[in-house]
Amino acid sequence: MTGLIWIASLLLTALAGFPLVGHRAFAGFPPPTRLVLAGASGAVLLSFAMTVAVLTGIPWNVPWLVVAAAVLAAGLRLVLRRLPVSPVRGPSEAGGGVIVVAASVLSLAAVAAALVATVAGAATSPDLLFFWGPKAQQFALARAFDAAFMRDELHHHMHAYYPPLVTNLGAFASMAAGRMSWTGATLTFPLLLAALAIGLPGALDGRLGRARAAAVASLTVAAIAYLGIEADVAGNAEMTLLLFETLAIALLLSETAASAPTQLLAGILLAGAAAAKVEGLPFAAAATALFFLARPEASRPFWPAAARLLLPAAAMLSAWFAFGASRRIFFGYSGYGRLLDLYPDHFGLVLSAVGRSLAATGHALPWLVPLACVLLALPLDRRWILPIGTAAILTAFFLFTYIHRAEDPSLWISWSAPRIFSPVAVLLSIAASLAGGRESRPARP
Amino acid sequence: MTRLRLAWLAGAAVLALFPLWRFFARPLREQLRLPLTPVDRVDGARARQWQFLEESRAHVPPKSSFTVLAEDPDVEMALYMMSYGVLLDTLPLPTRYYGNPTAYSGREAKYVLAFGLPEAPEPADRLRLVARVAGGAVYERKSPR
Repeated sequence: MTGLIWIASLLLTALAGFPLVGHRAFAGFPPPTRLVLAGASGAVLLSFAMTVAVLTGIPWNVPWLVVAAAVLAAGLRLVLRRLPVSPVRGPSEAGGGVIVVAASVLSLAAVAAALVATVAGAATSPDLLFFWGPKAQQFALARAFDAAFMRDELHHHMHAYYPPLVTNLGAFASMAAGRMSWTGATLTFPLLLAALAIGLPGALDGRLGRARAAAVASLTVAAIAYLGIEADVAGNAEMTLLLFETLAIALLLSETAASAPTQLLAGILLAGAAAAKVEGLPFAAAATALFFLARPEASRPFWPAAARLLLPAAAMLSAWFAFGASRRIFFGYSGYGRLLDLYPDHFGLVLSAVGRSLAATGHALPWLVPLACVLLALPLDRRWILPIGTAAILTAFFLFTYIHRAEDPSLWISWSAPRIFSPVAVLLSIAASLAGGRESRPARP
Repeated sequence: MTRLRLAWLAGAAVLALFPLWRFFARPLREQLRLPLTPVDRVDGARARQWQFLEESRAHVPPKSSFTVLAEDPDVEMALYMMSYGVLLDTLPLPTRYYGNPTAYSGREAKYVLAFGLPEAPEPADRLRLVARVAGGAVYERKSPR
């Protein structure tokens, strides 16, 4: 029962995000997609409210945190009133029923597989037991970030500097349920995957039409499910990161990406990615930069668009680093040595270890199947720059990180590569929908 | 157009059905057994360690300190890290941290959780056996330093 309350309390994030996503600027999205976007943006605002509460010395309290996040969302809604709101294309016409049904069944099967694996204790991340869970539990008890706990040198393994969103949500749910629930924490994997299965088709619909949006969404959801089961992501930050990243990329590729409200919402989702995991920051930076290259017509004028996409992440991380610096716990992200202290002779070793590691994760099918779909869709339209470019930058970033260790990094790669390369599978799945010319959206009646 | 839609659906089918196929490829009775720990089917060794900590919990009073000992330093470190989640409202004190002996903390602990050790980790005049649990034993130090 505690597990159910724990996981159900996360649905309150949709309540927090509704004042923003309830705005008419987002009326073009179908209701299930708006609900998921409200939950995702609400989670970001809730985490921000929790961080600011600690900075200002206000103890956490479940109802007040929801109210504070909703007030933030309402404040952003006021900002939207000043922004130009482009007419938003509504959900496409009915049709392609067989494809939609088949895609929905496949998404359902993928979510069911993730749920079964999670309930069976076959997909749990050891990191949940080592630090995500204990940190969330400790913060819930302290009703704040426990600075003394984080500063203790015997808690070095807790990675105090890791961005706060996932532990914040865990602490929030633990306060709501009265205690930490390990079952509840693992269930975030199928829950957030289900949210993506529900919300993603509507986010792609405006660009692709109903049937193709459903098919691409099912490919994306199935890739994440298989990868998540094989790489044991239940209860860690991976699924949260993937939810934010997938929805943000879908919005930036959408027909409404030129509209200020869509850019603001995408910026909030990118902030969620940056506040979920360290590698969410390079993702957010790469996606924003490549958006301007891939969608020049949608990103003018430059500075206001850049502000909408980047300021939410800047605000989230500024609050986090202000906490770390003011308590003298951390002053930035901890690296693996100095930036240019590299071991280039390890490069071959790193490449082969990454290859082995991905091959051991479902025979690399979560990456190979979307890649095959991309090759079938060639030539892609100009928007390919965004997902493929982001995947390339992330890959370069991870390889760069791996060649920072003096010792053999093979063991480190074996347990980290399938997880950190998971956004690449998602980006390939979405890129497969960018067939140039031949696959234009069907005309509306 | 149709070719791409079919490719996406076929890709989704492969990716969605592989894990389900793997699930049904094993004996159903084994698959339907509810797990005792969050990691039963991820890592059997880790599951036994978690189970050991859960069973030890009943024998470590709230607010008291404990240390975890194991032969393998990696196992000892894993037990120490997981103990924060399992033994709430107690004070874990590591004897080794990532394999390196800590200055005092482990020796100051009131309780010793010995995992997989064939004998008591300290002489009998310094330790009292509190309970034997799955995977090890819980001891109380007669006079912690």
